Formats: sequence, C-alpha cells, structure tokens
Amino acid sequence: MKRVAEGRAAVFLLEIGTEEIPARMIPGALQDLASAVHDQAVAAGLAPADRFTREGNIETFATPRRLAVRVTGLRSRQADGAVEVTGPPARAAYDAEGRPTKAAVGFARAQGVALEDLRRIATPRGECVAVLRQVGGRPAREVLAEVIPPLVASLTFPKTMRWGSGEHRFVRPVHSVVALLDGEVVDLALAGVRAGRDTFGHRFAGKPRVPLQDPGAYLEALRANHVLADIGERRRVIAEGLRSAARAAGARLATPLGAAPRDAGDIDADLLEEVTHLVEWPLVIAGEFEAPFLDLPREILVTAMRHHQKYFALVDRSGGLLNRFLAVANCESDRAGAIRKGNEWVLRARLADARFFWEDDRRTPLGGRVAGLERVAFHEKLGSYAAKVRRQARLAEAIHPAFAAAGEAVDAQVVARAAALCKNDLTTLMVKEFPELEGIVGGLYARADGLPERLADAIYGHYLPRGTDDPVPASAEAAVLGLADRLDTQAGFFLLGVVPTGSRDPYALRRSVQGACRILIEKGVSLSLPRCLDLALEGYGGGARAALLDFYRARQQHLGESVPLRPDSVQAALAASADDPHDARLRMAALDAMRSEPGFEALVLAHKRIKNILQGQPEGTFDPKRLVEGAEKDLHRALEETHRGIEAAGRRDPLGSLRAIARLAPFLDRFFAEVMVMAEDRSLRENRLALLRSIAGLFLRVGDFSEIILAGDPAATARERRKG
Amino acid sequence: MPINFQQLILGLQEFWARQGAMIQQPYDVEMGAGTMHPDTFLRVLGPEPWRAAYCAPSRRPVDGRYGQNPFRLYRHYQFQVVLKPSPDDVQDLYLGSLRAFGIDPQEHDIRFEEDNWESPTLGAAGVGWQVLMDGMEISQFTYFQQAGGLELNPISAEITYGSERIAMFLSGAASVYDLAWSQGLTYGDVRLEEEVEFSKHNFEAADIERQQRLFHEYEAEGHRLLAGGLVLPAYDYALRCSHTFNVLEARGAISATERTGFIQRVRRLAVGCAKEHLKRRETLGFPLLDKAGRSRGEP
Repeated sequence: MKRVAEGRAAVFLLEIGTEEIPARMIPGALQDLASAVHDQAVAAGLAPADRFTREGNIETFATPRRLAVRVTGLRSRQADGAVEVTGPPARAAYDAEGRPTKAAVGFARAQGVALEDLRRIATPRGECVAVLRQVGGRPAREVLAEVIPPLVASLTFPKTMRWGSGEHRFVRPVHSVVALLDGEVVDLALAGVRAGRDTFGHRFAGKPRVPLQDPGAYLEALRANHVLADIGERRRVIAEGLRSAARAAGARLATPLGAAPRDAGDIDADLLEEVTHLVEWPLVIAGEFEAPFLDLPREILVTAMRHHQKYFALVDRSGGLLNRFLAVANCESDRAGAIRKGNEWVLRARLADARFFWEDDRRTPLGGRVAGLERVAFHEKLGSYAAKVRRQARLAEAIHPAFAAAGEAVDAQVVARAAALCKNDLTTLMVKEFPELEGIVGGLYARADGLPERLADAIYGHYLPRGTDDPVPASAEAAVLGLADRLDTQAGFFLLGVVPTGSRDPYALRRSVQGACRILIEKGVSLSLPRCLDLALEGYGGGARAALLDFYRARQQHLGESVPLRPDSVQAALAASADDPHDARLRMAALDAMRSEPGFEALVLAHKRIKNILQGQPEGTFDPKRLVEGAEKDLHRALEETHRGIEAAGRRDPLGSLRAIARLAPFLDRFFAEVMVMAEDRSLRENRLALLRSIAGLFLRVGDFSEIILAGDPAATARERRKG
Repeated sequence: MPINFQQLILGLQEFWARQGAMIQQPYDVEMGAGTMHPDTFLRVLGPEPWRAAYCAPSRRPVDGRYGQNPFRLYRHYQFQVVLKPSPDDVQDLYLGSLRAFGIDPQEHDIRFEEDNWESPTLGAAGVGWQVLMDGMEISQFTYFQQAGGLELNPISAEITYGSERIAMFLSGAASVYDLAWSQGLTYGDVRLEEEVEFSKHNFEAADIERQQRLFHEYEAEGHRLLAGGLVLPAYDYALRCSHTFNVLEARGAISATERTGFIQRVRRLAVGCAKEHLKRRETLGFPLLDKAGRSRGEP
C-alpha cells in the first residue's frame, strides 16, 4: 500500500451519488455538509484551526444526482500528542510508608511504564496515580473513515425517506460513494454503500462508471461525461445560453411578474437558480407557441411558462410578450428537435387548458360567485372564505380612514365593494389551476366583467407584497384590503395557537406580518396596532392579543434591521413603543440618522446621567416656583422651549425632536455642574428630580436611550458577538 | 413511432410481466386512484414481497368537463406498477419501460422532479418525483413511507403512468378525444358519452340526500363487516365511501368545515381495514415470505 507522503497537505474528495435530490434542498445540504466537514476536520486534528477555513479549504459541488465536497490542506495524519491515563486512587496505590502497592505495580505494568513514571494527579474522585503516554497521531484515512459516516448521517433535510429494505434514511436513495484521500480510497460506507473511486456520468450521455485517479481529476472526469458538477459554472453556462438564445430571437428575457422595473432585462434569478439544480448538463431550447394565445392575459401566459413549465418568457424591444419561450433541458443536444417539439406541445396543452378555464369562468361574473365561497375552506377550524370575507370587510371599513388621514386617496365605496369581491376568484377554475395567481385572476375577471378600473385594481393588487422583493400595492384600496386580509388571517391563526417558531411557519405568518408592516410604513399610514388587532380578534370572538403584538414587534425589528438600521437604534425605538409601525419606523430612522450628528454622544450621556439619578427615586410633583438656582431656572426655560419646538415639529419629525432635545445639552451640563440635585431639602430635591423626569419623558417620545450602545462601550462588542 | 392507446397499455403490461410483475386486472369498485386497488394499498403493508402491474380506471368526479376540455377527464386510465421492496435499479427499470412504447430516452429530456404524495383518506404518504419528458409530466414515482397509518418496512416503489397523456404526447393529438384507441376507433368513440353523462350526474343530477344516505350506509356496513372479521369486503365499502364523498364534493354538497370530517371517516374505515389485514397476514405466517425464500433457493 502506498503511504500518503508525510508533511504534504492532503486533499480529500467525498461524493454521495443519489437518485434525484429536490432542487430546493441542494444549496442547504451543501452548506451543512461543508460546515460539518470543516468542523470535524479541525476537531479531529486533521487541520490546523488557524489556517483552515470553510471558504478557503472546502469546495462544494452538486448536481441533482450528487452532493460533493473537496477539502484541501489536510494533514495526512493527526498531530502527535500526549494522553494522560488515570489509574487507581493514590491512597490505594501507595501504603502508609509511601511504597507502591500491588495496585500501582499492576497499573504500571498494564500501561507498560516503570513505577518511577507514575505521577500523582488531582481528579474529581480525589488524588490518583496517572501516566502520561505519548501517542502517535493516526493516519487521516483512518480518522476520516470514522468521522465521515456519522457526519453524513446527521445532515438534515426538509424531508427524508427510506427505500428498499428500509434500513437507511437519506434525502433520496444512495447509490454510490466516492471517498478519496489523494489517490487512495477511504474505507467507509454511507447508507450501506461502500466507498470507492468510481463516480458516474450523465444518465444518458455519460458512462455509468467513471474511475477517478485522485480528487483533482473530479471536475474534468465528470465534464468528459457530460456532467458540470460546479454549480457556479453551470449557472453561468445557462445564463449565457439564455442571453444568446434571446438575442438570436431578437428578443429580451421577460421581467418576472411583480418585479421592480429596475430589474428589467435581467434574468429571473429565482428561476435560474431552480433550473441550475435540475440539470447536470444544461441545454437551452428555444420554442414557440401559437400567436392567438397572446390574447390571454400576460399574467396567465407567464405563469404557465414560468411556474408550471420553468420556461423563461421572452419580450420584444418595447416589452411586449412574444409567443416564444426558452426551456433548459438536461441533455447534450436536440438533434431530432424532439425536445423542442415536445415542450411546445406541452405548453400548447397548458395554454389551451387556460383558455378553456378563461372562457368557462367568464360565464359566471365575478359578482355572481359569492355563494361558492361558503364551500371554500379558509382553514378547517376557522371556517369558510365566505366568513373570512365578512370579517375582513368590517376590518377594511374600520382602517381605511387611517389611510385617508395619511393623505392616500381612498374611495370608501371601492374599498367596500372590493372587500366583498376580492376572494371570489377562489371559486374559478383558473385559480384552481394557477393558485399563485389568487387575487390577480380576480382583478383580471373584474376588468373583463367591465367593473370600474379602480375596483379591479384593488382586487388585483391586494395580495401584494407577496414576497420580500415585491412592492406594496400602488392602489390605496388594495393596500387597505391587503392589510385587512392579513390582520384577519393573523388573528385567526394566533387564536388557534399557530405561532411561528424557528423554521416552522406553515402559514407564512412572518411574511404576513411583515407585509402588513410594510404597507403601513411605505404608505406612511399611522394607526394603533393594539386597536386593529383587537378588532380583528373580535371577528373570531377571542383573545391572543399579547402574543400577536409581540410577534409584530419582532417583525418590525427584523424589517428595521434589514433597511439596514443599527440594531440598537431599532431596539431603542421599539422599546419606547411598537404600537404604530409607521411611527416606530420614523423614530428608528431618526435615531439612526442622529448618530452621525455631533450632538448625539452628549445626548446619550445626558440620558444616562438622568437615568442614573432617577433610578429608585420616588415620583414627585414639579412646581416652577420652587426653582431657586439660576442654572435650574435656565434649564426649565430651555425645556419649555424644546417642548414647544417638538410640538411644532409634530410626530412626523422625530429627528427634529431629537435635535431639539440635543440643544438642551449645554443647559443640562450647567445644571449638573452648578445644582445639587440630591439636596438636603426634600422639596427642592423632589422638584429637581421631577424636572429631570420630564426631560427623560422627552427622550422616551422617540426612543428608549438605554438601548443605545456607543462605540467603544464594552457592551457593544459583547452584543455584536451574541448576535453573530 | 405513433402508437395507439391500447398498444401503450399492452406494451406496459408486457414489459412489467417480463420484470416478474403479476399482471392484475382493474378492480371493479369505483376508485379515485390506482393506489386504492387492494393489490397496492393492502399489499404494501407488512414484510411480504410483491410485484404487480395493472391498468387502473380512476374516477375523479370534480375533474369532469362534459367532454369539452381536450385534456381533462372524469375518468382516466392510470397504469399502475407496485414493486416491493423497491429494487435498487428501479429508476433504470422505469426508463427501460419507456422504451417498451417507443421512447428513446437518448432523444428526449427526461427528468425526475420532486413531487411527494399524500392521501389523507388512506393514511398514506410517500416521497418521490413527477417524471417529466420534454417538459410533460408522464409519470408519478413514489416510495411509499406510510400506508393505513402504518410505517412501512420494506418500502414499496409505486409507478403510475398517465396513459392518456403519454399516448397523446406520442401521437401529437390535440384533444384526448382524437387519440387513436385501437385501429379505427378513437378515444372519443369509446368514451365521450360516458364523460358527458357522468359530468351531468356528478355536477347536476346526483341526488344529494340519497348520496349522503349511501355514504352513511356504506360506512356503517364497512365497520360492521370489519368487526366481523371480513376485511376485504369491508375495504370495498371504504372504497364506496370514498367515491360517494367525491361525488358529493363535485355536487357542491360538502361545506368547507364538513370536508375534513368526511375524510376522517373514510380514513378510519380504511385504516381499520389495513390494520386488520396486516394482522390476518401475520396469523397466516406471511405466506409470501416463504415463497420468496424458496424461489431464491433458500431452505
């Protein structure tokens, strides 16, 4: 057997060959695999902790049929080390005269050392004898064979399975394992499959057995067998293929539905990611469908192409949808054109289906679908959509004035009509076929029925924002409706006790609450959450308000931090109040902006000083007549002016308020320098404390400054670390 | 090579017979999917090996379109294969079966994309894929993990071919009713009237009260038979309950809140049958285990 050369860094390749792994699970699995391999290599003494990193030493590869990592910079054997072996207690090992007993002799013999080599050490069970033995590090091959199988077994996936005799569990059945340390096979087995040096090529265009000389040969050997195992390379090849096929057709790639206009002309990144994980050897296929289908709404055409078929839609120079598409196949070539023809046939079938749905649905106007909603379940324990619509119409009616107050032109009648109609599309064949178009389909049918444009827009947009990248609805009525819809859903699920925890959020309530907050923040609408949630909960006749408010607070924090605003600015604003997301966001932003202004540090220090003095002091009353010293009288005058300034600035300008408070700093400094707050005279003391308390109250109108961490504050680094 | 509908069925039967599958015939009680056939649902339970293939007429009342939609049918024909335990080369076997009706995988884009399966009425769930050929879903491929509320061991692989779709795809037919069934007969010649009449029945004519009464009667009879130890007849009544529920649903007679209740009632009966069936096989000493051992030359 060839020995791995001592001292030279070794390279390890692990490939798990499986049946097709779900595309959505591949990136996470690779991340976990790479981190686990990194940590285990360090823990097992196979890699130096200081010069061995996840990014620098571990490459990951994957296709639908394999997960792989390649690790460089490994030691070919563990570092040598000393091991302390504990023997019998010292009182049993030596007699009263200090002579070794039989126990000591036996232990020394068993350990193969002389009696003089025994040492005494302190242990939890008292003093014992022990020997220090030098142990040679074991070869990396042996260690890897031990650590890799449990590591792979502990990988987690959203869903796993058993197969065959049912003994093993993994994301999909495992068929081959490559484990090579430099040129040698590491003797291990995963899910009952022994490791070797043979990988495998493309299912149809490659060889079923592809032997590898060493880990360095991996990518090239696979490439020769029509597998691009490097995910980044595969993504690039697909992107280039799509762009050049679009160019060849004199077209551009269509912007995904609902995407911001700035992304126009860019590749749909989510779809690109998904198809990248569906193929081993990508081939872009250009196809067409019959032009008359273009009469169907664009939303339906694009969804049929993108969501159902994973096709990229194409548009002309002016952005008009073309009767062309690009598909990404997993093969070498389409010589006979069978793949193009097949994909065209499938899309034609889908579109013919969609046209049938469109025509059939149109026979019943949207307004005539109310009765059908009684039979559509919102949730088995929360009743039907008909009941939901009634609840949310009441909510919409209650909240729309807040939108009007914020300067949004809301038409109360449109809100009421849209609220009554907005879920009617759930009974259409189109939504059954294209559930991702809920709301949009309702809007399209409303328009086709000749209902007012504004009403159609309200229905069309009320699901926005669907995801974090979506805009909030442009239509004010859609925003009102969307908010009412979300409040009702959240209230219902919180009453059932369905509160998202960790990765479990089956009804996407995080997204729902964030959507509600974003509507309020981005539309600039102030309203009281406790009042709205009470109203929503009333619709079901129950409680759960506190839990829901806490949840709202956590989502506001997440949104604020992702602006990004400093976490402690966000905390400070929310600690003061989280009841009005729009107002809270303004205060967060003000706190954050103030931090780059010269007066900020003085502001924080003043707050700290005031807070320290007030700590544990009883509330007292303030009487301006009891002010005696010049400094306190001046401070009081300045405070009154600040009050007036803040009132004038109003709640919409918390930054103005902060600046006004900051202008108090010199008066405060003088006050602290010249005035004895804790005066002997109780009435003077109470009066001064009360003066400070009203200043503290000013701070609290914007944020709780105790949450602010100044740079250099030891708490700052501690908190950052905890967050990481 | 354009082939007609019956050649597809015949090709699949012949192929799977060569793989050692018993060729079963369609079951004669209405069902929504080939999985409900006792030769799948009951045979995947317990340790006995099993290989079967059959054409399974599947009735889905809500999918009826009065014969007007070129792609939707109230009743379609699944071709069903169940392999227990799932062989290591089951994907290759499947790909081989495509050749049986003239598909050369080299010339097409064939992909396995995640699609898991769950049947609340059968207390069954599996993990698997939809198999796409050139973007078209041609089969469902499932590794059963549970059935009748029981964890399975060994695991069965179930392959379900959408035979109409495949035949349409191969022939390029624009409507299922234009598909050639045999020499001289189209799918429409054979089945159009049935689609029209059953759509009318399921959506308009079925007497709601009578169907509801039938559901209760079937359910009661099923439990009575099960209590008396007649598992297979009891299971037929579970199938009848399931189909009656489907008719009621198409008829618009089941409200959102009632739905779960109905499903649970079918499930209770089906799960009861599964458990009782497994006990029965155990009492019999799992006879097919011995047979499999003997055929492998074991003592």
